This record gives sequence, structure tokens and C-alpha cells, in this order.
Amino acid sequence: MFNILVVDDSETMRAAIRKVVGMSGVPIGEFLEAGNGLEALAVLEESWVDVILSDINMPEMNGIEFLQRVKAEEVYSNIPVIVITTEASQARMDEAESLGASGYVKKPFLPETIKMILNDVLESAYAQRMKEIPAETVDDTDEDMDF
Amino acid sequence: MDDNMRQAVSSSLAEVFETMFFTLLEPVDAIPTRQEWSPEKDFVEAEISYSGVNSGDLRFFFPQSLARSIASNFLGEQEELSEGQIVDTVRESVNMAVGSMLGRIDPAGECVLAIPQARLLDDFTPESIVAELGLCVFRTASGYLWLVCNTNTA
Repeated sequence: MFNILVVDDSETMRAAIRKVVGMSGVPIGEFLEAGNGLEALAVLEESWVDVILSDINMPEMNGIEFLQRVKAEEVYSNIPVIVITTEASQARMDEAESLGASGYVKKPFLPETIKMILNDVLESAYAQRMKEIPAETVDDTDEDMDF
Repeated sequence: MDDNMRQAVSSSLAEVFETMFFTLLEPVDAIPTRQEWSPEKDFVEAEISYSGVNSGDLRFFFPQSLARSIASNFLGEQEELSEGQIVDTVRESVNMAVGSMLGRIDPAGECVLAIPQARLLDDFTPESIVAELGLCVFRTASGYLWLVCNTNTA
């Protein structure tokens, strides 16, 4: 099960993403929400998060600053961050990637796009997590994660 | 507003509204006459600006029925929607539309999009904006969407 944090200042967009993620087939533990980067940092302090989906254009702390803060903190830096935003210029995508974003989704998006990128990112994160766990603690019968 | 900008606005709005809100927008060449306006006076106004090498300010006026329709389509809910959900959906729709437009007119990403604002208007008529330069009108199944676009291109 994966805990997912969605950061967007639009409550209706968070609800729409929640619906899309719910239909994606990804095994979801907790679905956490924040209205901006500052609120998201507070959520990270309180809860285990496996993947973050974040908007860029938000008040208080925007998505780029939030991404920088996440990647600068050792304890959070391995959490994959997928940027979902209206700001679709190549320059903005390159900036997010250079700061460590694991993926980029342009609004407007099709539900399939979110599903595909979420699966890719979580599969990579899961593989990475399995590598970090000492071999003797891994149950051989449950080696592959199938979404 | 030049033809290229008008085209960028129209294409971006059409793409966003069709993809995210299942709503077809058709640009209208001639401003609709008073007889064609909906008698509805409840509107949602949304405003968003951008700045940088180019700048602009766009004000959208959604009839309440159109605002309600896009919110319902977006959330996939047929039950009663709150005013907050309707206003928030309109706010997000203009954020997406103008963000998408910036992707077309500013591929280098030199412009910065401001945080959009939206509010309910309970006694609006298009009379107050029909003389504005940069007026664009779109026909939808739920009434006309009115847009006043003030842009400065470097």
C-alpha cells in the first residue's frame, strides 16, 4: 500500500485527482492533501508519504520551492515528486526535472496519463525500496509488485 | 489583441474545456445582441494575470448555469454542488486555460502566472463589458462565456 500526498490549492482539483488515483489500480493506503507547499511540509512531518503529486502555481509556498525543500531534506529526498501543472513550457518542465521531479503532468490531463506516470514512478520507488532492504528480510514469494 | 493571441486564447480554452470539463466552446465572431443574452444575472467572475516579457490580464464571466455545469462535469457529481465548489472549479478552469495559453505564447517559460481569483456576481449583465477592447465571446450549451483580454506583447 502506498500513501499519496496531493498538493494543490484547488480543492476541486484535489478531489478530481483523488478520483483518478482511486481508479488507477494503485494500492492506496492513505490519501493525504495539502493546499500549498507549507501545508505539505507539515503533512510530511506527521505522516509517511510514498509519492507526492504537486501543483506549481500555489500561494504561500509554490510547487518549485516545495520541491526544493523536499529534495534538500535528507529524510524526504527519496520521496518521488510528480509535478502536475498548467505551466507547460519546456523551460518549466526542465526546471522541475533539474530540481529532482520524477515526472511531469501537464494540465489539462487525461486520467490515463496520471495512471501511467504514477505506476511508473511507484514501480521504480518500489524496486529501489526492495534494493535497500537486506536480502534475508525479503519474502521471496512476494518479490514483484503488480499494480 | 492581435489575431495570433486571439487564436492562442481560443485554442487553449477549447482544449482545456473539452478535455477537463467535457464542454465545447465555439468562438463567436460577432458580439451577440441583447436579445441573444441569457436573462440570467448570476455570474461567476474569474480573473488571472501573467507578467514577464509579456504581460496580460484576463477576466472571465461565466453564467452560473455554465459554471455549475463545468463543476458537475469536473467532479463527476450530479448532486447539489456548493457555491465554494463551483467558484473553485471556475478558478481552476481559468488557471488551466491561461497556463495552457502561456505554454503556446511563451515557450521559454519567461512569464509568471499569478494566482487566479474568482467570485460570485449576483447582478451582472454583459452590458458593462461589450465595449471593451479585447472582448472574446464563446458559445456553449449553457450560455455564452464572456472574456475580456488585456495583453501587452513585447
